[in-house]
Amino acid sequence: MELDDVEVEIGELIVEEKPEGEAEGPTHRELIHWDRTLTSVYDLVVVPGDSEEERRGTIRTIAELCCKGAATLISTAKLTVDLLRQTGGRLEPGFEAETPLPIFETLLDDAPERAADLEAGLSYAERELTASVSELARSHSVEGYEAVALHAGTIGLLAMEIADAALSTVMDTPDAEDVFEIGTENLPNRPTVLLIGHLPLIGSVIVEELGTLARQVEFVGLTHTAWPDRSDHVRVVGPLSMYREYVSSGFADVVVVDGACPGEDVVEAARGAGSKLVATFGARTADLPDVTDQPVEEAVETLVAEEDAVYVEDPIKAVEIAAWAALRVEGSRDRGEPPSKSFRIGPPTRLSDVIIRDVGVPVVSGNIPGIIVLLSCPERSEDVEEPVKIAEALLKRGYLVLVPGCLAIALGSYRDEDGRSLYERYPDSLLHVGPCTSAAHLVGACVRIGVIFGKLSIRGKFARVADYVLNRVGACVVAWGREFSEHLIAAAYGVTRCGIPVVIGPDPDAGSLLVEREPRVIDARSGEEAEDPTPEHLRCAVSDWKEAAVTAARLCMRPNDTPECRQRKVEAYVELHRELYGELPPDLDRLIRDENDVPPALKSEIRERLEEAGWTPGSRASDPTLLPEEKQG
Amino acid sequence: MTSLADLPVDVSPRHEGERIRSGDMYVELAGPKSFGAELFRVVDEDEIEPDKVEVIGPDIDEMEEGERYPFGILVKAAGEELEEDVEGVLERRIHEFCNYVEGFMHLNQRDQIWCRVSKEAAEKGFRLEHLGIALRELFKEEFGNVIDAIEVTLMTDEERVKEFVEQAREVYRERDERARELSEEDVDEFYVCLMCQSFAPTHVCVITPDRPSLCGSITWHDAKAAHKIDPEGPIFPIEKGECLDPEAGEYEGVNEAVKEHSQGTVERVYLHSCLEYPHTSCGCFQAIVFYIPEVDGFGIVDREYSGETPLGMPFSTMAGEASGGEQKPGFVGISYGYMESDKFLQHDGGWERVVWMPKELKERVKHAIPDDLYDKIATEEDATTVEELKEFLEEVEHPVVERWEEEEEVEEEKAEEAVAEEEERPVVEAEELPVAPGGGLNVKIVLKNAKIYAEKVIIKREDREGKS
Repeated sequence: MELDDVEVEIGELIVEEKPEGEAEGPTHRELIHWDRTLTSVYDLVVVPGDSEEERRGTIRTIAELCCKGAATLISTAKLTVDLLRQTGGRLEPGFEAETPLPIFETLLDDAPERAADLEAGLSYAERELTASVSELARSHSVEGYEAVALHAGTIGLLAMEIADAALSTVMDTPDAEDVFEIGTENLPNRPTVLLIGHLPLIGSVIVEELGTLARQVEFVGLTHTAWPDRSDHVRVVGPLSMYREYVSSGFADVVVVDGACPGEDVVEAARGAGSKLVATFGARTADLPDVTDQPVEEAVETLVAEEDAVYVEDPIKAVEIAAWAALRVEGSRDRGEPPSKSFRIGPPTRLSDVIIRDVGVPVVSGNIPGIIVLLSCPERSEDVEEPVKIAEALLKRGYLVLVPGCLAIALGSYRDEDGRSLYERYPDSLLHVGPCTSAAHLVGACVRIGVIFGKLSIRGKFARVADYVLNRVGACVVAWGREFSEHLIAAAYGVTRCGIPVVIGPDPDAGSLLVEREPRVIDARSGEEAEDPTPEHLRCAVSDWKEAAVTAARLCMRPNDTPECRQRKVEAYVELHRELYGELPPDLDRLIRDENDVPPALKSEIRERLEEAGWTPGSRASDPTLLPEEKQG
Repeated sequence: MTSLADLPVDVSPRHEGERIRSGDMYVELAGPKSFGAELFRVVDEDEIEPDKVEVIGPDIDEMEEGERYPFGILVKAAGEELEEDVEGVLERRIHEFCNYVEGFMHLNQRDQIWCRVSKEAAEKGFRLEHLGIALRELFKEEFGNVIDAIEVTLMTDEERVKEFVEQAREVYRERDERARELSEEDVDEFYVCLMCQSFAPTHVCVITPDRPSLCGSITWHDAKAAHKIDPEGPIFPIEKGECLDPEAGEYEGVNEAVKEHSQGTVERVYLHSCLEYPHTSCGCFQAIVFYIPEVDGFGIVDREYSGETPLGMPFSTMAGEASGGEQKPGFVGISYGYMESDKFLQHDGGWERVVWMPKELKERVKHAIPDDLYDKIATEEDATTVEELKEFLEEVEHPVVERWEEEEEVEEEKAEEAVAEEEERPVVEAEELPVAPGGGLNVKIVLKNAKIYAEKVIIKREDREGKS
C-alpha cells in the first residue's frame, strides 16, 4: 500500500488482550466416546486378577495412582510456571515448531504463548482432576475405574507438557554438539554445595546472582538433564534419580533440595552423612524451621549452629545461605568421597519440525522400523543394566530410541569393550531429548508427525488426533522399573489414550496378561473392516527386558504401513526375536497381511512358518481409522 | 550347488549394522588408500554362465593379514523382464547384500567402495567365493521374478581391477548421461508413488524423468525398477496421456491419476508451476519454492537452512503451508533433483524468476543455475527482508525487475482506459492472483490526499484458527 499526504486521526486506542486465565477443555464426558472406542478394541486392563473382584481392586488402585500422579505433575508444572513468570513469562520452548505444545492444543483448542496461558491450562487440569477424584469415589466397576484412570492420566500428561515447556524456556544450559562427559572425577576438595532437583537448570542465574561468593564454593548438581561443565554454571555430576547414593556419601557440605522428585528421606540421608540441608520451594520437607524471613547472616548462623536443615522459600536466597554455610563448616567435618561415576552423554536434542521432517522418508519406508521412547528412573547403578540392554537391542535393528530425563544421563554410564557409550555407537539413532518432562514432548512429537506430514488439524480435536496417532505413527513407549512412581503410571495412561502403546515392566506375573479383545480397524475409504491387528496392544506388561524389546518392536507396526515398510518392520522384529530367543517369533501369521509384507531376505523361512500356521492373506486398510464417522465429518 | 546355509559365516540382515574396526580387520579391500569398483550389468542370456562365481586374483587365504588389496565386484544378470535402465537401482543393492554377510563390511558405492573382512570371518574360513555365492543367492531371492540367470565375478588382481575400474567408470558416465537426457517427451509412462499416503492420505507424488519424487529418493528409473520388482507395491506406472499444456506440464493421464488417488481432492496438476495447480506435498520434500509477491519472483529454501527467508518465515513454518497433500498456490515442495531439470518451474518463468536461495543451497545446485543468473540470485547474506531483496535485485538487474516495470505500465494504461471509457468498461479477464502467506493479495493500493478518521481502533489478538 502506498500512502501520500494522508491524515489519520484516531479517537481512542484500545488494546484488547486475550482474557487471562481462561481456557476451556473437554470434560471427561466429552471424551468418553473415544475411551469407549478404545475399550471396544483393546483390553486396557493388564493387571493381574483371577476374579472380577480382584481385577476391580487392582484397577481401583491404578486409578488412584493416576489421580495422585496427575496431582504431582500439576504441582511440578505450577512450580515451573512460577519460575517462568519470574523470568519474564514469555513462552519460548527453544525449538522450531508449528505446534510446540500439541497436547495443550488438542485439549484446550488454543496455542499458549505466556505463563498466564499455561496457568489457564493448569486450572483446567485442576478442575478435571477434582472431577476425576470425585468420580473415583463413586465408581464401582472395572470400566468405571478404567475411565477415571484414562482421564486423570491425560490430565497428568497435559501438566507434564506444560511443565516441560516452562522448564525449557527458563532453563539456561550450555549447548553441546557432541558426546560429552560428566561425573565426579577431579572434583576440587573445597567447600561444596550440592543442588538437587530443578535448580541446576537455572545454574547460570544462580552463579551470576551470587557473584564472588559463587567462586569460593564448588556448585555441583543432580538433575534430570545434563550439559558439559562450564565455569559459569552448576556442574552436573549425575542423574537426579540416584540422589540417595550421592547424598549419603557426604561429599557435599551443604545440600539444597527443591520440589522435584526426592521425597522427605533426603533430609535423613543428609543428616546421616553429616551434611547440612536447605530445602527450598516445593520441597517435600515438612517441619523444617522456616528461615525465609531471616536476614542471610542470621539464617546461616541458624543452619550452622542450631539446625541440621532449614527451609527457605526463595531459591536464590536458599543457595546463598547454603554457600555461606559451606564456607563456615569448612574444616569442621570430614568430607566424604563422592560416588565415582562418570557418564558419557549425547547432546540434548529437542525434536524440532525439521528433525521430524528429516526422519520422514525413513519412517515411511520402514528404514526406521519404529520410534521407541524409553522411560525409567534408575536409583542405583545396576538399575541401568536392563534399559541399556533394551536400548542396545533396538538400536542394533535401526529403531530410533528417544530417552528423556535421568535415564538419558544414566545410560551414559555403560561402556562397551572399547570404552564407548551407546551415544557414541549410535549418534544418529539414540537421542537424549532433555529433561524428564520431555516425555510429554515426545508424545507431542507423535502428534506433530500428523501435523507435519498430514496437515492434521489438532485444535480441540483430541479423539481425531489420537485416532491418527494410533493408526499411523509407529511409536511405542517402554516404561521400565521395579517400582513405578505414580506420575509414571499417570503418564502411561495418558499416553495410551493418545494412541501410543505402552510396554510396562518388569512384571513377574506378566505374560498371561497379553489379552487382546478384538483388534480391528476400519478403512475409511471403503468403510470396510480390515484384518490388521496392529498395534496388537495399547498397554502391555512384560516380564523381562527381552520381552520388552521384542514387544516394543512388534507394537511399532501400524495398519498404514506400506508393504515395503511392513517388510522392514517384520524383518527387524524377526531378527530381534531370533537374536534374543534363537527362533522365529510365533505370531508372524498375524502381522503379515499378504505376500507383499514378507521380507525377501527371509522369504523361505517365513513362508514355511506361515504354512504351518495355516495362514491366508487378509485385507489392508489404506486409510485406517477407528472413527469412520468423524473422518467423514 | 552351495546355498547360503552351507557358508562358513552367517548371511542375514542382522549383520547389516556391523562395523569392522582396523583392530579387528583381517584385510581391507579397495577403499581410499587403494582402488576398486562395483558394477551391475544387464546382459543377454548367452553372455552368462548361470550361477557361476569366479574369483580373479588372490583369495582371502592367499592374502597377508593387515594388508589392503584392490577390489572389483561385477554382477551380470539376464532376464526377459530385465532392462538396462534398472542397472543403477540393482547395483545399489550390492552394498546392502554385502553387509548381510557376517564379518564383511561394505561402505559407499560405485568406484568409491571400501570393504573389510574381519579376522573372525577369516579364521572361520570365509573366502571371497563365499561373498560371491551370498550375492548370487540374495539377488536371486529378492529379484527372482525378474532375474533369470546371474553370474558373479570378484577381482583382486591389480591389473584386472584397474581395467575393470576404467570400464565401470565408462558405464557410470553413460548411465548418468542417459538419465540426465531423458525427459518427459521421451516416455509414455510416468510413475505415481503413494507411499506417503500412510501419513498424508490424499497426497499423490507424480514421478517423471524431469521430476523425481519430492523426497528426492525416487527417480523415474528407480520407480520403474521398483515397480518391476514389486508390481503390487505403492509405486506404479500411469499413462502420461495427452499433453494438455507442455509448458505447464499438464497431462491428461496425470490429472486422472491424481484425481483417482487423492480421492477426488485434487483434480488438476501443473507439474512445472508453483503458482497454478501446483503439485501437492506430503511433508518430506527436500526444498520448497515460495512466491514472493512484492518482487513477483520465487525463493527456494531447503531443510538445511534454519534462518529467516524474505517472506518473514523460516523453512519450518513455510513447510507447514506446503504440506498435507493440499494444493496451495504460491508454495510447492520439490526435490533437489527437480532443480536440475530444464523444465524446472518453466510455466512460471523458470530460473529467471528465482530471486532468493540460501547460500549453501545455491552452491549445491550451482551446476543447474544458468551462469548469467547465478550472481543475480540473492542469498541470506544479501537479503533477509523484502526491502533488502528489492534493492539487491535492482542493483544486480535481475530479470524480474523488468517484470515490475511492465506491470506498472500495464497498471497505468488500465487506469487511463478506465477513466476514458467509464461508460463502456471492457471486461478484463482477471488472472488468478496468487495469495501471499497471511492472506494478502498481490495488489497495490494507493491513497492520495486522503483523510481517515477512526473513532475507535481496537487491537485484538487474532484467533489463529480463524487465520488459517
